[in-house]
Amino acid sequence: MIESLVSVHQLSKQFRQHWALAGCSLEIRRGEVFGLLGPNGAGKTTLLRLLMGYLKPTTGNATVSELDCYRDRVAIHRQVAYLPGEVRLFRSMNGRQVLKFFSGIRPDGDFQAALRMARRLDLDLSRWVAFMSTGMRQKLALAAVLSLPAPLTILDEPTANLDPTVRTQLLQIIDEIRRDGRTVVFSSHVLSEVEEVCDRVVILREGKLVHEQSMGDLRKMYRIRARIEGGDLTELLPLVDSARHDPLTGRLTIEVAGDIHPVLRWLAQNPVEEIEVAPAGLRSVYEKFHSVPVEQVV
Amino acid sequence: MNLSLLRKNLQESMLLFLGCAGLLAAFSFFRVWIVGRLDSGRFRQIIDLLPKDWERFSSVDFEWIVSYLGRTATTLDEPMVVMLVSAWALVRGADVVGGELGRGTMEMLLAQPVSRARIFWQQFSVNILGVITLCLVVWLAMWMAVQTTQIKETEYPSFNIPLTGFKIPVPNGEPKQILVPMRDVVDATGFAPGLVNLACLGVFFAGMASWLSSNDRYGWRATGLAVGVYFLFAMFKIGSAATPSLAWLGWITVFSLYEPELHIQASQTDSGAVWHWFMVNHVSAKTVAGPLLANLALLAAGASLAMIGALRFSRRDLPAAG
Repeated sequence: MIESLVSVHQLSKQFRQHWALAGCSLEIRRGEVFGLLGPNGAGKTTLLRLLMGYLKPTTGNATVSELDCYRDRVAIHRQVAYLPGEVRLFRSMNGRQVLKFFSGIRPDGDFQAALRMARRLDLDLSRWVAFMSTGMRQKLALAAVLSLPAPLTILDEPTANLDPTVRTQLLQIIDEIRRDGRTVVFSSHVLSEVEEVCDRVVILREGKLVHEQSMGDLRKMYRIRARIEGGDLTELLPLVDSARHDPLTGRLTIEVAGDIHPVLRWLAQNPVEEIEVAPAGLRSVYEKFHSVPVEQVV
Repeated sequence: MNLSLLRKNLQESMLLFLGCAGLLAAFSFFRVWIVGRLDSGRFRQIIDLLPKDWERFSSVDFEWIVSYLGRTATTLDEPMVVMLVSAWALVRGADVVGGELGRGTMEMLLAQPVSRARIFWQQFSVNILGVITLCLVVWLAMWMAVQTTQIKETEYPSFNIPLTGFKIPVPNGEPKQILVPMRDVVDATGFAPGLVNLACLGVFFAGMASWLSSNDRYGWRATGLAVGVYFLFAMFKIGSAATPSLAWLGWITVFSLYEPELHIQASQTDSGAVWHWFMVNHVSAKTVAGPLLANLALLAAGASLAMIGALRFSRRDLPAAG
């Protein structure tokens, strides 16, 4: 059995009449890259801020290494490197001073490691934070966070404001952290990035956790699009996870998880005119939960 | 004590501190130097022209204010001095929580293994250290002015009676003006009770602003509120002194506990007066808080407000930057 680093049980947060997070339960294992997906206002940042102990849960609880996220937040912060969604740094410092401050304030901080990370992210440390662009500030914060040897790294939309080169570099660094046996929680809107680095993702919608997806399983899922004249669709249905057919245009969309051969065999036996077979991808999963009203998916 | 955090706090407050310290030093020196320009006789004439009724605006009698010590001691009651020390305490206090939240830097700061209480108390300590240092700057500037200023005194011709030490004035002799070092008539260590009172007032404002800040998410709003309360207290003080029917306002303004000249005057006549809980104000003939009570009340109120602020900050939800 794989040990959980983070456990969330029925966690909820209410702001006045609004439930920002409602009854969320999940487990994050040691050594995995865990993705949080959802549109703005879905509750991703609220969940991360509850994990950091910035907010007091309305109900439920969350633990990191069996320490309560709210009560034992200082002990938890010793094990966590956190990048907030909106990065703001001390404007009266230059880049070098910021890295020195963050490596000095923590017992596990390493200024030389932070400098190496800054070089890797191609950062000019002589510039004052007040005169840095949003992207540069993001890179500076990333250098401070990613240089820490913390068992858990929490990144809230880390690729926002980054250029494509640094974005690729960041995804490589996340992969290195995983290979080091450490855990990463990664929140993003960019499905392709999540698909590239995460081992498992959850999808949030209006404060509720609506789906959990293993990326390993997702890579075994296929989406087949074809145009078919006639054919007995009742034979197809037991072989697939879902199928949609438009009798007017003859367009057929099938989603299959696991062995694809029986479906291909069925298609070969029927009058198919056009066919396209592709990995299902995270988008197809995401769209299932974000194109229909919330009542239908919960 | 976290050294990185301390360095950051000092760095962030240095500009304001240097500004306040520079102005306080210049003003305090200038104010004492000006006293030396105006001889006591002429100053007495000016005071005598004021309606007797005006004495109620002063906590000490005009007779004492005419003296060089009295006139130099009133430096500590100058609005500029009180406002600059209070401005430091209020602005830095209001920055403790609201400032960091408003700038959006609290999020990254609190992600470090440092408790909220430590962040609060460390910044509060830097604030108090600044208040004490500013009071020392005022004292140093006043001391330097006392040491370097010369005052004009009128000397009447006289002759000494040998072996007795007595001087007999010459009746028809021409008086002459002589220059005397101010240090011969003013002992700068005598300002200490007034400066302690000023520091205690600073501690109160630091605590009050920190408490306001702990409830807010914007530093500018916390500063605005703190400055508003400061001026409200000042208005209450003026109102209570000006109109007998509004005397009750004196009970709800912190400035009733700020009487530096009274403390200095009392310590001149009785060196143990600084340890008195109560004393009689000779101008109003009323029993008022003595230096010990006034200073302890200011310190206790400031510390209590800071403690409530620290507790509030430790328990509140922190809004995201934006």
